[in-house]
Amino acid sequence: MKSEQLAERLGKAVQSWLNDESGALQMAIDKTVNEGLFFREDVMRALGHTRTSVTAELLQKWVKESVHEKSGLSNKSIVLCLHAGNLPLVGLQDVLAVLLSGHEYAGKISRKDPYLMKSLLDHLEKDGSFPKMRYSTNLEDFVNLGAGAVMFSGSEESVPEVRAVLSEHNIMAAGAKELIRTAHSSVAWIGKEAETDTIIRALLEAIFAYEGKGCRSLTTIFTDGDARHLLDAIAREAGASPYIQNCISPKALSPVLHYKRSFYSAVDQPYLRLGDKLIVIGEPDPRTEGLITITQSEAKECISFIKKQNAKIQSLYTVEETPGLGEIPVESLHHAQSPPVNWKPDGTDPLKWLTELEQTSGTMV
Amino acid sequence: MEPQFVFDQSVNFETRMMRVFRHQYDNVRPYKLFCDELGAKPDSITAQNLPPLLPVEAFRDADICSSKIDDSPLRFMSSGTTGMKRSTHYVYDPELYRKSIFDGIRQFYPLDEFVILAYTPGYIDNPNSSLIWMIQQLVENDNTGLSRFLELGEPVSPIALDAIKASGKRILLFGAAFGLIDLAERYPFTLPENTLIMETGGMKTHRREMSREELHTKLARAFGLQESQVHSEYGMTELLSQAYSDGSGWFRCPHWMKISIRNPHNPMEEVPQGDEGLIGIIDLANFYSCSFILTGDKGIMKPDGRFKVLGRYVPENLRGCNFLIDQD
Repeated sequence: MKSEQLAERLGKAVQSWLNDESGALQMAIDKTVNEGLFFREDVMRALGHTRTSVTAELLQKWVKESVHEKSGLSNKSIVLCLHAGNLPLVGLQDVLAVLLSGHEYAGKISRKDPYLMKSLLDHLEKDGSFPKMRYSTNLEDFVNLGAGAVMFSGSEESVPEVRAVLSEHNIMAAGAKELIRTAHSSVAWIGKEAETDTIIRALLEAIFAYEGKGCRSLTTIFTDGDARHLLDAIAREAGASPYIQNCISPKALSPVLHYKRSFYSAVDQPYLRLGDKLIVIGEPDPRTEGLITITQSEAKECISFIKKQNAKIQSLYTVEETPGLGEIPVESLHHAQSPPVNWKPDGTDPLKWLTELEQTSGTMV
Repeated sequence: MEPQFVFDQSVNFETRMMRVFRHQYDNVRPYKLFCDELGAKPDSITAQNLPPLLPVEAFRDADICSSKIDDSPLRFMSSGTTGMKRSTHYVYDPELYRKSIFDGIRQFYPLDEFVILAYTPGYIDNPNSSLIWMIQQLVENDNTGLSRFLELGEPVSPIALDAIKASGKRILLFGAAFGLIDLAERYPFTLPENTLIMETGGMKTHRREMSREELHTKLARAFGLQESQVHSEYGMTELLSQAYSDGSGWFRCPHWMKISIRNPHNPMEEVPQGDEGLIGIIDLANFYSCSFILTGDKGIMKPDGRFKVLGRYVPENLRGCNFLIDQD
């Protein structure tokens, strides 16, 4: 089957899964929520986004953009996808890319998200239109797999550990390729003219959706407006938004955030506590979990920060009301948690990468 | 309360620390607020349950002083670029700092055997630098008149070196690492073989970054000395005491200063022995500001209290898609 036909078939199959005539999806949702793996709001958000972004038309568009006619689909490999489990259905784009590329999908499903992805994969397998699939929450089930490529997202620090585990289980073929995404969070540039209720809502959603655990989650805000004013606006909107109220975790602050909050209080540094997160006016600190910073600065400081972070920042968001930041590509803040299916994590289109996969060399991306 | 007791080694460290803590809790408002937020009241502090360490940034973001800041005759400020907010350390009692400087360095070096040379900017140009003030005191203390600040960008006078040799004293040369290397590269000369170099930091410049070990090797070669003759001083604007390292790279503190290595994920607790973490410092000489400080430096400590500075602490990736292989 050609890629475009596959795209049509895949889009329809995903939509059919979402329509859930069998009730399997509903069971997966209930188990996920009842076991406390994710908030119901986040599960429904992920599914709602899948409904609008994974359609036959949009998948076909992706294929047209990324799959060249001469691409070597004859060189089929087994592609191992390691699903991180930090968000509901995380890694769905990788699944779609593998299936569209014609390679064989092997998925190590996370024990933190064991039901939703499995429900989808079961549905696709029953459909019978796609190359062979295998998936499991046990890595041992992939021993001696001979995978020609592996795709995963993680910190730079975790990469050696992942490689060691894959090697220990003899999962990868010699010279297998790797697509590793290491960006950890995202930045927003909010110009001083852009402080509207709609934008504040979008900021809150970018911060709180999926408990702030994704690499598209917003951790660092720069503004050339009044940072205190922005913080106050966020506080007002958070108090008024039922969605955000539902997303605010009742969990206690982590020890490091408790320590930081004590410091902010002591030195009169403005901050806002929302559940297990702190939003503070101060210098960027994108690596402390649960900490969101607002930095009042000129645009050039935002650009400088992103350059300094190198590949650690996934996306720079801005809004129509704010002028762009020149050389750095921007995405709409309103799509922070709802990227198009063909978005490029860490700047790499996974479908294009897969269709250009050569089986012979082990060059790492 | 007279602060000189902090130097009285006949009283154990914990007793002195408790007196200092009580004074600062009662008189340094930001520190009191910080402790209260953390639930650390004076009666809950023991030798095992140490006072909370205040992030060093507090000196940038608040007035950390137990007296009126206008009553402080000295005001040290961290270096910084234009527009950057700088830390300020108000020094209410310069004599306390002076005593800490001299008692501290004498704990590790026979100061009277040395002539002090400093390849740093002078005090007139840098009245807000605690390091320069310290060197100025050391220079003034030497009654031979041979100790001095060297002219930056100028060769060292052979006549001055000969005069030092003739005096029978040794040279203790202070300077930022790269500044000293520049000096040696521009005006090659050999220092007397019994010289000690006291490198005062400056690992990073616009040129490049180098490890302390590499730098010391380069410094030793540049001046015709052994690596063991390149020592280091660890201090900062926010401290009135210094730690010193011999050529080994391990720092030792004077008896009124104590190091702990803190868990970056919970600075209220120490890391297990031998693990890396944030360097926490108790400096009792900071009597009129705050003696309990968490730095942004990464370090490691030996059971005997010696510690190594491993550069700035850069947190590991703590969030995002960082959950790859499930732990059973």
